Amino acid sequence: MRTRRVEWVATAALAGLLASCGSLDSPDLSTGVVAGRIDPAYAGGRVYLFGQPEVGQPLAGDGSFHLEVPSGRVTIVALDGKDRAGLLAADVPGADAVWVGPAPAAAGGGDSSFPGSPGPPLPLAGFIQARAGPTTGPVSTDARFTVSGTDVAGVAPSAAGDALLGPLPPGVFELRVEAPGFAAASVAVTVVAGGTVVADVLLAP
Amino acid sequence: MKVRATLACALAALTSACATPGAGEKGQLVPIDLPAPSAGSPAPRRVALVVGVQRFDDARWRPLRFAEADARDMAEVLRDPAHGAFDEVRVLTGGPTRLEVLAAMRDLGALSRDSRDTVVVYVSSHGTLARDGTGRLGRYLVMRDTRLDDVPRTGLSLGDLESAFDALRSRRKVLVLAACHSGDGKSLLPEDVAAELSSLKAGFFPPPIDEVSRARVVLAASDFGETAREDEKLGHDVYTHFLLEALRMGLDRNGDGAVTAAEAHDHARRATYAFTGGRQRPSAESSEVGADAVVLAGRIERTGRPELYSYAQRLDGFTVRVDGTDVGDLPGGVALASGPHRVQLTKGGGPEILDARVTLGPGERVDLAHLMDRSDRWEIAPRLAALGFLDAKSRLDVAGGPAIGPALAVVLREWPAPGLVLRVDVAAAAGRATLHQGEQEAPFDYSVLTGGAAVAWRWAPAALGGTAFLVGPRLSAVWLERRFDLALAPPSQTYLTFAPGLLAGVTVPLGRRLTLGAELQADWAVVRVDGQDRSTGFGALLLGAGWRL
Repeated sequence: MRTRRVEWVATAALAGLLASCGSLDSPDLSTGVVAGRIDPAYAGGRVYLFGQPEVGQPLAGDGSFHLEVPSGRVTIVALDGKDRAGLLAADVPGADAVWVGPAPAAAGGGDSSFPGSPGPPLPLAGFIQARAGPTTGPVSTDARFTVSGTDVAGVAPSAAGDALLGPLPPGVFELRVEAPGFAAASVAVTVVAGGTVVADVLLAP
Repeated sequence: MKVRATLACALAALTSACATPGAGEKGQLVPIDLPAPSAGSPAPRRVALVVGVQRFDDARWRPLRFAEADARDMAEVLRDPAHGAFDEVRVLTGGPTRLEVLAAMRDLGALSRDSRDTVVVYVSSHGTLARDGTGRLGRYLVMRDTRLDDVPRTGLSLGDLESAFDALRSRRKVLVLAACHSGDGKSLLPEDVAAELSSLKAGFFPPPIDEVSRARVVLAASDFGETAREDEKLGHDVYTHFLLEALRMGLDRNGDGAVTAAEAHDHARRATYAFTGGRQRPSAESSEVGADAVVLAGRIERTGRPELYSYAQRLDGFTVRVDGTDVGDLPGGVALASGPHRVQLTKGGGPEILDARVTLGPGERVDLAHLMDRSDRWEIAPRLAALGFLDAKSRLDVAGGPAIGPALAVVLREWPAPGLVLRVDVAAAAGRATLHQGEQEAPFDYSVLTGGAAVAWRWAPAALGGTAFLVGPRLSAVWLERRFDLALAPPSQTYLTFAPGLLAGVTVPLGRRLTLGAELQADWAVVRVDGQDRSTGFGALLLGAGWRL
């Protein structure tokens, strides 16, 4: 009897190791979601993460977006698809979502759909009229223009050597230029709402 | 060598009953085990060895006055056909040596070869204490050739005597040791031992005369640390006088026609206590005493009245109250009329530690200690529990803690075996913790539900007045839940596992039924976290009250 009792206890203990169920999987706190709605929005409207323009998505039909980004402080570039663009800043909690713009009607975490109100209208987009060339000599037609952090990257100039970069949200951006035979150069450019800023970049051999 | 003057030290009488109840009867109502003649086998015999030593070669042992008289009269009563009617009684007086006594014990074994035989061994002499070769303080009986300066090698060790006694085949045997070991009365201690004991602040209480076997009972003329006495007027040591009186007078408590060892001892104990003004309290030790049918005088002619008894040390001094009337004190026994009774145990003005209703039939003998165990077997114990993982990492990312919550334990004592308890418990707690990943944090709520069953050993030292300790293995189920209020995490995660562990606890009685208890539980669990099995400990501290049913 005693032996059987010992066996029973041993078997039960072993079963304890095997008979577990469920799991405790911690959420990934390295990413979160930025959600919002752009109104009005048009075809071609999109949002992307400033600094990582490949992290983006087109706006939904109602102008909403739901973009998964690294958690922490982020800036979103929003384009309405027509003539407006803006920078949306947000503190993104890990494994959670944040609404940018006015508080959603059903505010609160845990609801990833965020059926909320649209944010304020985006400001008018701006453009950069960029040219690049040496101090003496013609402008380069082989140059490639990139506005750092945005999806404006590697834009080639026209035959006249000009490149119209945008639409861009108002703000200060770094314009970088790379041209064969010249050192890469960059300048800070302030984009203004509804305007086009001319940026001439000197290239040095 | 200083010889301590002394009063006569009375001796211990022991009687041991051997009627061994069947396994199924242990702890239950105990029927008297009447010797049943078996066809084709000789009738059981009644034999005795009676030893009295009152003069000693070493003059430092003070001569006793009545040890030989004790032995002679004991032998006479046992031989007397009107009383003991023993078949053979051997008497060793005139100063037997240690070896002679041990040889007589071996001869006794040759005389008694049937387990149904009744055997009585009675020794009256000085007692003493000495350290043996291992440094252990042991008790010895002083024989004629015992030297005070070499007690371990020349004295009769109680251990040796008991070993020889245990070797007797009889299951109905009584060992009576008429000596005390207090250093006073009928004992003398070597100087070094006496000096050592006198330096103790507290009184010296040597351990009981070993654990008694199921086949014997130890009835002592005095309790440990007390002095046994001889008395000039009685012409015997006090206890032996009243033990003889019980046999001669045929003090048959339950009316079955016989005087059993328990009946004789109960009379001698009460009379000795009264005669000495409470200075000498004969004691008895045995798990089976009272259940014995060791007949010392007369013969069982009819079924006796039912009896209640207890010789359990933890019940010493309690009064037995039956149907509202005090009928006796413990240790000892009382006979009742057959039928239903309300039985209570009280001491002074304190609460009843037992209040039970029993129905007794003719011949039934109920051990009150067992009745207590049986009547208070169930206990419901609400608790306040502090639950938590024992490792810091799990406390951070699985369940914070310790978390406080309610708990409930149900205890069944004396199951599945005497001395064991079954304990089933459940506890729940909830709290809030924070998950950390690098610089990111996420608060979460958690719940813990644990339930377990333990079979634990229960130990209740008599000196602690009912306080009991528990320790034993426990198997539990642990259910965990985490709830994150995050858009990208499942709202709830659960995990269930079984965890073997240990339980340790203490229960302190606060009254008849109310107890105060605390338990510590420690379990080993494997928890799957983030896809990996984690070996961890889960603990719980429980505090609360209990109610015995």
